[in-house]
Amino acid sequence: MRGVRRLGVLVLLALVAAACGTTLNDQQASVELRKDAGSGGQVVAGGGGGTASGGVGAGSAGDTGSASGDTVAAGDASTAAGADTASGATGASDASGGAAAGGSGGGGATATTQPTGTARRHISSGGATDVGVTPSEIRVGWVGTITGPQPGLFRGALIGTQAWANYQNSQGGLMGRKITVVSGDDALDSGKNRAAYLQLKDKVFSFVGSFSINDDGGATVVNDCHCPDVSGNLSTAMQSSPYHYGPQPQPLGWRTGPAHYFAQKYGKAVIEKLAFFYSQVGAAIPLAEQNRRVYEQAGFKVVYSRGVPPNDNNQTADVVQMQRAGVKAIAFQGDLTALSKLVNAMRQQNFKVDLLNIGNSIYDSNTFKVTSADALQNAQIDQVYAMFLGEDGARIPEVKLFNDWMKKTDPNQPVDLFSMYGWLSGRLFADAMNKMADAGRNPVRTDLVDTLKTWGTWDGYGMVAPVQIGAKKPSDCWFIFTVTRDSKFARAFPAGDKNYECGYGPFSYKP
Amino acid sequence: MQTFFAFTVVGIVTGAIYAVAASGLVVTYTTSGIFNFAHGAIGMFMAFLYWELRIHHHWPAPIALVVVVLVLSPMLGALIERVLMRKLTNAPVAVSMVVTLALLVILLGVATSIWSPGEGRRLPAFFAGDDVTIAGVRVTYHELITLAIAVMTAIGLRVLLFRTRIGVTMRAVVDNRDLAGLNGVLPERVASLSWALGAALAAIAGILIAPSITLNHTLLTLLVVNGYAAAMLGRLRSLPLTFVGALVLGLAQSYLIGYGGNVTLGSFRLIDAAQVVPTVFLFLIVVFLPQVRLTAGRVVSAIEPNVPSLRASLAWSGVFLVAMTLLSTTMSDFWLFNTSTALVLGLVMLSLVLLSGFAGHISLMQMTFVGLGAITAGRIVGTGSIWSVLAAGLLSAALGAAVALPALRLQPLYLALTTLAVALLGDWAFNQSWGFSGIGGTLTIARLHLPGVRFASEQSQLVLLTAAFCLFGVFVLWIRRGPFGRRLTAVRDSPVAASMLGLNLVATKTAVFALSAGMAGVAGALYGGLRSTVSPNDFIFLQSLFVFLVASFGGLTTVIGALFGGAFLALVPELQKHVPVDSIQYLGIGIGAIALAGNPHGFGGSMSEAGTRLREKLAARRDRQQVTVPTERPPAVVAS
Repeated sequence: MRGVRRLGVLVLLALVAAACGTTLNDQQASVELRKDAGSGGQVVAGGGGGTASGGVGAGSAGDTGSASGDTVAAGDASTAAGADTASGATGASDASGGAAAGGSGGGGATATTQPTGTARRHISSGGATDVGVTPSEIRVGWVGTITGPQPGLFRGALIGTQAWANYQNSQGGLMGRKITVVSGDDALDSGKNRAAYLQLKDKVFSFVGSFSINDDGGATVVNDCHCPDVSGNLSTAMQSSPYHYGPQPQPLGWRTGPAHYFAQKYGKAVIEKLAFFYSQVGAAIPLAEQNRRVYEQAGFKVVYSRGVPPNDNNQTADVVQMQRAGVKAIAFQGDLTALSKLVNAMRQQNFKVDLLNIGNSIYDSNTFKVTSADALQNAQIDQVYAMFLGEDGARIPEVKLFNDWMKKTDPNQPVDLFSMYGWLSGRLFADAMNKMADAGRNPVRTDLVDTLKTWGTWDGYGMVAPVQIGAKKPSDCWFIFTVTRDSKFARAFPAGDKNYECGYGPFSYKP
Repeated sequence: MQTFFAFTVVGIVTGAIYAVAASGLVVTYTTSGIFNFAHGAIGMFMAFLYWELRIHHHWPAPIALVVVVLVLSPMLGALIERVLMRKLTNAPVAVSMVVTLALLVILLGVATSIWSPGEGRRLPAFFAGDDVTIAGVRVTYHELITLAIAVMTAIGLRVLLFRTRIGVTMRAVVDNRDLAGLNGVLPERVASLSWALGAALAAIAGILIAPSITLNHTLLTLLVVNGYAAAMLGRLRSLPLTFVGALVLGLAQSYLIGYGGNVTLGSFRLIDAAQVVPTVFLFLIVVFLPQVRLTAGRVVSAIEPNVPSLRASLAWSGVFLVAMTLLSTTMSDFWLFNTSTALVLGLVMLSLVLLSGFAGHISLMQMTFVGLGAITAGRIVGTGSIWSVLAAGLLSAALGAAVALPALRLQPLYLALTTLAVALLGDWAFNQSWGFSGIGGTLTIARLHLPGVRFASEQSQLVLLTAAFCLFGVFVLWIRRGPFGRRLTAVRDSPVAASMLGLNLVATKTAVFALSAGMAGVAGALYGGLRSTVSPNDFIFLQSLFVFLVASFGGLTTVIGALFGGAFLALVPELQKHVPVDSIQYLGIGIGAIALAGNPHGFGGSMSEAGTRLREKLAARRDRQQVTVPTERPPAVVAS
């Protein structure tokens, strides 16, 4: 009995303490999200004609007018049948196709496809043509990390996918049907990831926008059920699935262009004194090895390298080593926390280098909360996505559209890399479905996979450097941005209107 | 030489961080007799509280410091003592370990719920931007403060504990609580003061360390593990030796980074081992230094649940297997998979029933054995074959025996710390991508196939794992009933008496470690097959900690407890989706472990007890019925 009383008191104390956290705004949103999370797969977004579920504030279809200039009225998708406004979505691939082939020293990619009027509506052939499809609805599944040791880790990806669905529904849905997103939570565990995929595989037409470092768990399920998966992959297992296609494929390899560009820009004196740092976490090591080889092939000489463990508490020793080795350039590949420790130690020792390429994990709304802009001066970061936090809103309309719909969908969710992946995955899925509709095909899983398999180049309306979807080839293109003194990110190369540089070297699979 | 001095300065600064972290640990142990595994978690929690006041609410630093270090943390320490520790005064060491480990998990869960890990936070250093140059190295004022506090703590606490009345009283309470009470000391008040002091030191450590490793829940909590090694050099008693240990650690790490870059062994570079210096140090110290007198204890009490007969356990296994097979026909793939996960984790728990429940040894590295089993099954021997499962068991058993041999003479606390050190070494090895490959660092493992039978579907996996659980359950109970089981309990209850009776302690302990590790290894092979892929994260120390805590409150002495534990670990994350409080798994594990700390047989023991009572009631009712049935009238006695 005493045990029971003690249990009661402890439960009460813990709940009261934990409930303090729920008073925060983002926690409220998290709770709201979890309410939607049902055991049988939880409907997260839905509602035709531009309304969004869950009280997250998506406006009516007319709201999109300000963002995209589209004139499509709100209403059920079926009423829009026949209003095929045609031009955009599937054209995206062809429009930017040449960009990836840019030769050395000169290729380039611009946002050739505009989001305005990209949504298309097609006459539904009606009927439940495949799993997750009804005459009025197409259910898509999302699997990622919402709870677990890091609550809300990839919530952004879910909200990004939901934002796309809301936008798509505001444009009349897809194939005359509204899109509904059903989510599964893997709690940062590959077993749970597998379970979530198992839970949804017989309920959804396709997986869209999923994001998890444990997606190896779901890969075998996708293979077994032959379910299309249009998402960002983080594991080799998912990348190699014949049913998985993503907006930025990530095979084992590294882009060579930036290393060659830096080599040309800085010359021997700098590139022969490179320090290479990477997160010493199993998942990151293989990619780091590829990255290092690319640098070495471009003429860099690594004079100091170290895998930084997550629990490293003082990197001053590394700085002393770099000073001793005469390091002039640093390449870093790791997470924001590890990076923050390194640049803070460098700042403390007043150690500066000519080239500080610290990886695009720095491009995050949290960056300047974790480390000061002063410590990041001279940083040159290469990236294959547009500046999706909003800086590119003026030059790439898709960025503005994405940010607008993120705000409408969940104003409390910061825009991040994962939300961009969710959005882009949705856009790729929609483009593939529209292509099928153009060919007079119904929503059928095998047809969707075939469509993706034979797809050429796609650039996400300028939001991502052109990639080869069917071949799962990442982009050869990239651009450089820097950190300004007033704690902002700014494009640095290429200059002018060109959004991406496609010269200097291809993506290397076998560096 | 200049460089050597530079690395020396860096090492001393790092050592100061370890010293601050370790000193609070020593104080708590010296003044309360309890090794507080939650010390780092308290520091983490207080660092976040300080951030909340200082950064989020813009309080001036001195006021925020005073409130956190002198008010809130002592209050938390006293509260912990009052609510949790006071009841453990005469409890075995193992029980107090479970409670402090559970407290660690609870604080981690609560902090994660309040301060979302997804939000970036920075705690600026004191006097940021100000520094002095020593031997060519800029040392910040913050680091100097850390160093000064480490020295002052070592000296101050030495004076407090040995030169003041209250310090002597604190030590007296630990040495002999009753005697101290007879001399007019109020043990409860002294203990409260001790915990308040320990918590305040944890808060100081957290606030000083956070600026250098960023405000990260897990990192701050586990950084103190590095302090364990330093504290152990001082045998948990000597603050000066703890300080020396911390400096040695810091210097060793610094020199390894400075000079280990060019020392290679194949593809392995010595510099990459810098992070495991404290772990190796801890392992060596625990194993090789002479032990201090520690309070002996064990996991279970003398009265144990009934052990079913072979016939009964076979019958129940049959019923369970049939029931699960029938049930499997009605379940979706999702529930088949989740139930299978519960069963395979139940297998891991069964390995703990043998080791901790029957033999009384604590293991905080059970998932390391599981990981080794999974890697063996996926990489070393033809994956999916029965040989891969057997090899997984054998290799893990070998590791178990290797860990057991140096740890045999250790008492519960030291043994737990040894397994913790090996678990952290396992984390490091797994994170070196040894055994894993590709982006995401995964390993694909085929599902088991026997000649003519493939266990490819979710349903067949459930049946296979149910059969495996039944088999292991029957095996564990068979061991418990047999001579080896009796030897285990004898050694557990009184090693001295067992030795006097001629039992070979070394052989017995090594055998049970190897057997338990082997079972965990087999479970690892099946676990990998069920999930199809595994990654290093599946086997990290925190997972071992969860398994141990859940096994503790599931019940370390019963098969049903193991099943309950597996189900808890597998199914509670599903519950999380419906509960508006983050980290319900952390809170559930922690609260469950604390609540049932007084009942070492846990949930399984309660179930067993309830079953026994039910059987007794039924038997009593049968007896009553037999009494009321009219019997044949005895023949009349006829007088002759």
